[in-house]
Amino acid sequence: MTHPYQDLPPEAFWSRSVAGCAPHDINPALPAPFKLSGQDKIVTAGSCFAQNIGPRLPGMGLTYLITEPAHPMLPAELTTAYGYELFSARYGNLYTARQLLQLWYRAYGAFQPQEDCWDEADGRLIDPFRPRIQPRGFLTAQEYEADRTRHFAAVRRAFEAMDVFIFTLGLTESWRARTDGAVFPLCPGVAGGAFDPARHEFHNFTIEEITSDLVQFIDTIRRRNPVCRFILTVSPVPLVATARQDTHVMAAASYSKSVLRVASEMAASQRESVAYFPAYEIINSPFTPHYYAEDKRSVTAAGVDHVMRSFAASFTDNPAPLATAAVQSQTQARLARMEDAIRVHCDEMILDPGHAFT
Amino acid sequence: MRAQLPDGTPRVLCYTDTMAQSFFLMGRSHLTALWYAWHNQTEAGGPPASPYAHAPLMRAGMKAIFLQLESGRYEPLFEPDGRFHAAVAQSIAEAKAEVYVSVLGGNDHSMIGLVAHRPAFDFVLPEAPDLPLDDGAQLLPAGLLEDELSRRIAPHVAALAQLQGCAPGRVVHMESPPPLPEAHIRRHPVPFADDIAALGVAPALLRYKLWRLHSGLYRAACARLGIAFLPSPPVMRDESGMMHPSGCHPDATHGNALYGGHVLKALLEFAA
Repeated sequence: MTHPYQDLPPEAFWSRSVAGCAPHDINPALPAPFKLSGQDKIVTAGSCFAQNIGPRLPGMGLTYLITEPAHPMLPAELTTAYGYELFSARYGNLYTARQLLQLWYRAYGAFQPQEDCWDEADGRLIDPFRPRIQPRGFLTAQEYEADRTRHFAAVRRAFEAMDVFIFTLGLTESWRARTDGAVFPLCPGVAGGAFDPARHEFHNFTIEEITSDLVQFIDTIRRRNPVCRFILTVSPVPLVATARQDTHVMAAASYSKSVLRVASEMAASQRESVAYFPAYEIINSPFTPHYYAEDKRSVTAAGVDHVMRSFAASFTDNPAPLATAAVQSQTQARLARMEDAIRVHCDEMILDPGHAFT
Repeated sequence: MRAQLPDGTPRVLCYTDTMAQSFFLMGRSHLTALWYAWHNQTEAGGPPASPYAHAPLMRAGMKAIFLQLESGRYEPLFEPDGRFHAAVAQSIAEAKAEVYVSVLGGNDHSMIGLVAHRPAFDFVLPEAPDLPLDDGAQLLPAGLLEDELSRRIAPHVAALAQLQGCAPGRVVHMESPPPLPEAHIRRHPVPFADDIAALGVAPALLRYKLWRLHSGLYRAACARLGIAFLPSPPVMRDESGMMHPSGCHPDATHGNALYGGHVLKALLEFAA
């Protein structure tokens, strides 16, 4: 008697690919539908967990495209605080697919939100769409305008030159402008601006909306950059807070991650050369080592290592590190600093007034 | 015989003898211009063998003690508990001066901005945001440069705080000299000759902005500490705010005795 399961590979069976594996050897990523080469220019974006990905790519022999780089004269501790090189351009955390899509439209002048700058009482200016990109905001209107212009140019360069785009979906819960739907990474009033229920509303994106936004972004990119490939991941970092008053934050996080997981799978299935990478599964599984830090939210360096080992095995032909010792050394030094910085840059942390934020 | 700097800078200042004051001046390289200027005003004869001497200079009832921290005698400047090196603290206490003058720091804007960078950078100066921007340069946030300069000047600000804490007289901090003209730097590239040969001199406007940003940090620190801040003499600046060529010491960053003389004049007016 035959049946469809007879000839399936080991990874199709829980007993062999999960129960039968040492916790740190579990790898839920299959060989990807496309491979990355050292020449491929890779752009990253997404939630705070995505900050771990880009800086580790050079250590794997891959090319991390940075179009808005830190100036080499400045120490990494400072440039990290100003959002340099955490992602390919200085757009800060993009938690939702809608933010990503709107970034594209804003960069090309196709969407200009009405609420485009927050004037603080002390004279500082805050960019509503990257409110923590500068620890003290922008000090003058001239700087705000000049920086925004150059930032958008850097975004365009990244989107047009990239061969691969890695996007880590972080949240479904969001705050947006009632007038034009502009989505903010943080609720107005948290890191700048002032919350006004007449102007701002909560929105919890649905599977259909996220899938549509992702597909629309992919199609929009490919009109200018037809060869670009996409890798979608879901951040394993839980919500720091939910705005849903009827739901416990743990249940809200479970719901959000489930929605993001389904939407990313659906988007990947609707377009060619779009892969889903299971970073969420590696970190969140009870069968891999415990990879959450003491706050039960941050991911440890060992967890990120596991994710990137799996990433290399899935997307490269040379899963062993390819970089020279010198490059690795530089990268590791930077990563050590980033490990300290990562908590700082999870800017939704400031939603929680009880959290000892530094 | 009067002290003359190698470039033959003339003596042009004349102080009255009516202001009996005692001064304690401490600093590093920028202190030298004031030392020469002071010496030029004395009737005591030629200059001592080293401008790093630690000796009181007397003139018609005025006393100035110059504490040149570059001598190495006072390193490290701070004890583990954050207080001044014992010899520095002793000098401050024994001076019993009416006015304690900080010429501390003052070169950090040059450290990051005198030699041209690759890539070039520019920024919007918050106190003068309409100054032109170099469109071809990388735009850096002013706050980021402030943070970098703050990190660099932190030891000098700590020294200012210590001075304010232990000085028995008034404390005043002298602004560092404005950046020198490029033509002068190219003639006298010391101590950055190799880097300047390789990379060139940064644009004057960038160097001017960095100096202003740097001075703003000192001004703010002085305000926090209750210390007077004396700006560099306007008479020694050209129309673009840079150092007037007559005030340049034959190196890339310092003022000469003429410049120091005008600083002293401002100091004496402050102390009067």
